[in-house]
Amino acid sequence: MVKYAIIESIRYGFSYERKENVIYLLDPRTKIFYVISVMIGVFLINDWFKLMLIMVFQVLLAVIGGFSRKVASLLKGLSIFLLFLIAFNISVTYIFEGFKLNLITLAHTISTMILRVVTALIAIASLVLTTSPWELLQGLSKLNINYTYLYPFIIAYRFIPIIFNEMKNIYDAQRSRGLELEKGNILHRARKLIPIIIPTIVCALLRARDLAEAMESKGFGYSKKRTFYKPIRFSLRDLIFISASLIFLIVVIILI
Amino acid sequence: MNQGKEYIITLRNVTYYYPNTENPAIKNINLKVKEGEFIVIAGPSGGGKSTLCRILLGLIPHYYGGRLYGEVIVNGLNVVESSIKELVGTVGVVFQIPENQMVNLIVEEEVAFGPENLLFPSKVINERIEWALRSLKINHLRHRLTYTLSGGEAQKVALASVLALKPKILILDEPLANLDPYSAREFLSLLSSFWKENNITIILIEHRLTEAIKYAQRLVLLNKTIIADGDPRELLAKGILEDQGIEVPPLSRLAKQLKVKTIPLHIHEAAELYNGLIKSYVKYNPYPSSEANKNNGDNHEPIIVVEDLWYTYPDGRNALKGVNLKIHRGEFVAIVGANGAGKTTLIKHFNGLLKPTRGKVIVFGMDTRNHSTAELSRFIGIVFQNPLHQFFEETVEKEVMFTIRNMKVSNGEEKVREILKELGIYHLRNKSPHELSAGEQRRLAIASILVYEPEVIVLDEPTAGLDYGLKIELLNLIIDKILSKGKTIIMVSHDMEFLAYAPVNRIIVMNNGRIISEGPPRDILYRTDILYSAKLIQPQIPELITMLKLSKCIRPLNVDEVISFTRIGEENG
Repeated sequence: MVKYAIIESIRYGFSYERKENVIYLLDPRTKIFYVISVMIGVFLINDWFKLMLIMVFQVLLAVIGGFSRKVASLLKGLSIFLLFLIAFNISVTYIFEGFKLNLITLAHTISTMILRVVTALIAIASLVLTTSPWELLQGLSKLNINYTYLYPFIIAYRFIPIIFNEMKNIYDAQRSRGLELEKGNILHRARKLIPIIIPTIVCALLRARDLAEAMESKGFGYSKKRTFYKPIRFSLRDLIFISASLIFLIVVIILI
Repeated sequence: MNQGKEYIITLRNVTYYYPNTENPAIKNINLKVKEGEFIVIAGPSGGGKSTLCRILLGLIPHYYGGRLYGEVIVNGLNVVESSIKELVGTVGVVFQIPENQMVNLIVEEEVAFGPENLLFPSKVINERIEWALRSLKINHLRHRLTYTLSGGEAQKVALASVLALKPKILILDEPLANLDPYSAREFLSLLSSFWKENNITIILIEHRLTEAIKYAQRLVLLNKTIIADGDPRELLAKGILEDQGIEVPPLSRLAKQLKVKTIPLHIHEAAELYNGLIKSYVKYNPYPSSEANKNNGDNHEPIIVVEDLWYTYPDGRNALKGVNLKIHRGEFVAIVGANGAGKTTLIKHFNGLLKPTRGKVIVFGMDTRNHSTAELSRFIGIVFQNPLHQFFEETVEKEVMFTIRNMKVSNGEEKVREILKELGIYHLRNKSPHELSAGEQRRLAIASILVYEPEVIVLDEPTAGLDYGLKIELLNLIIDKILSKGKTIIMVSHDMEFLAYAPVNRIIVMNNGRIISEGPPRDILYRTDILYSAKLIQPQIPELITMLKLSKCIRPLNVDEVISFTRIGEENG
């Protein structure tokens, strides 16, 4: 149940939902550029106060864009991994510092690390949550990447929840036939996964065949290029957003 | 009426072998289709319907390989000689499972997908989206996420995304198989009105003929080769469908029993036709009120007791909202409702797969909250809808052995042999479960539960994916192998025609997480108000009797009962 709650909150935290506001209307290229520059920014900075400022800016964006709840859910889902990261970091520092712990430096490393990871996560989330895969695809196509290489990612994004759901049903069907995963040692348990894994793969392959036929019959791969029904346009909005965020980043990194 | 028009599809002596097979999937097919026709192709499972569809799309041979003999001409193009690209946009196809044909996240993106691939300019694509959505009356779905659509909505979106390419030929490969009866009816009437307003050739591959046949201008029966091809009424009159195990609409079957010459396809036609005939024969004893007709199950002890059951999914959705239910030993109960009504969520509580959020479920005196699924499964055996969700072993025999071993039943091997023989799949014991036909797979799935002899058998949508012949086979299996042993059966289904034939004691109607009504079939299947509010439909015979306003006198559920409830049988025999 705990595992399920984690996956569910991550899934919710990453799921796109259509809304009408300024962040959603930005050109996907603008958002891609923004994410890359924030990522570069956070890895250049080594000061927790500056990182904090960038994070506050991100949170502000999330509030304006109306996806702060999803970001919270995402962080909640990932909190266990963050804890793991902290523990790992402490042990590594402990070993490399000659088995001595300086609490102040440790607090500093951990806080900067957490801030860095969280900030990068929010940046990625703000791209994924406000841009439908189709828009992202168009953005990347305009950057001269062939769409047939990009569609597999969209398909994965769409079908992973479906297959995950199907796997739960398969698990239920096998439990009804007396399968008990909870019992036995690890090796035993691993072997017990076979009744779940095989039907999942078989059903996923059948779905893949259907999808391939449907896509083929709708002309997927007809040409190396494709058109878009709602062409993205780089507008004044984007220019303002890019310059504002760039200025902000530069000010934070260099001036303060 | 389309005389003089060109043939848009011509198949001449077409025979096809899938790669590495020795038996042809279809052989010697000759078929000519005129532009603008509405054809229904019916045939038993495994009769080559999907193969024919793939040939018309050019997926065979270009995608599947194999050996194709004969000539295939679609819209003037020789399919074998030209590439798939030349056919794209001419032939559109809608498949069985809507979610498997959708690539994009948002409805309008999905509709735009085809025209975008074919490099239409954005202005044209937008016109196409507008037109496709408006023709199917689904403009309100435009900005929805594709994975939040209901089955019926999703199938309409799948259709819209095909129509956006303005195909000349539209093929639908069992588009109703995954829809509940109400959505299926709605989808077909939408399709029919689209066909009337546009110049398009429609080929509907479907074995649920009761719904589909009303719209057919021409009916083709396919079982490896073309068995019959012609006017639906004529084919029905000749009785060719029965011989092939294809569903004959009850109305048409009634016509033959009543020795009426014209075969009705539509309920209104039938009402007019049978009005005098049935009325004059009815023995006027008023139908007993439901009090007198109370089901006999009450005398027995309740073995499943559900008390104020609530279930909330982790995402916060309430799937069950205060369900109260008692099931007695030896009953045959049917749980009906549209997709998403909470039927499967309810039965998952019977063996503890799900635990109540609130309220409780008592099974044979055990509170399911305190017992594991493995323990409860000894008493309650659930056979889920999709047999493929179970199969993982190399052979049929091992597949059944898996359950026996888990349940720690003694004499396992002997029991497996027995059950396989009893269900008529013993000769297949060394085959892979995936090599079996649809009907055999269903029987194997049931065998792997029946083998350890649980007290209660739960069947979740057992008729899904089965053609008429296989449904009758399933019905006999239920009666002879399960009911006759005094087992309790709980069947989840929205196959209304099947319910009219099965010897069900009690029907429980669910809607939106609640039980809205329950009672014997003769009550429930005549309660149009309840059925409609649960998005269900009446089976044809009750629909006919209701339309004739005779439901206060007789309440037959199926054709056989009409005959025995009236004096028609006596006079003829």
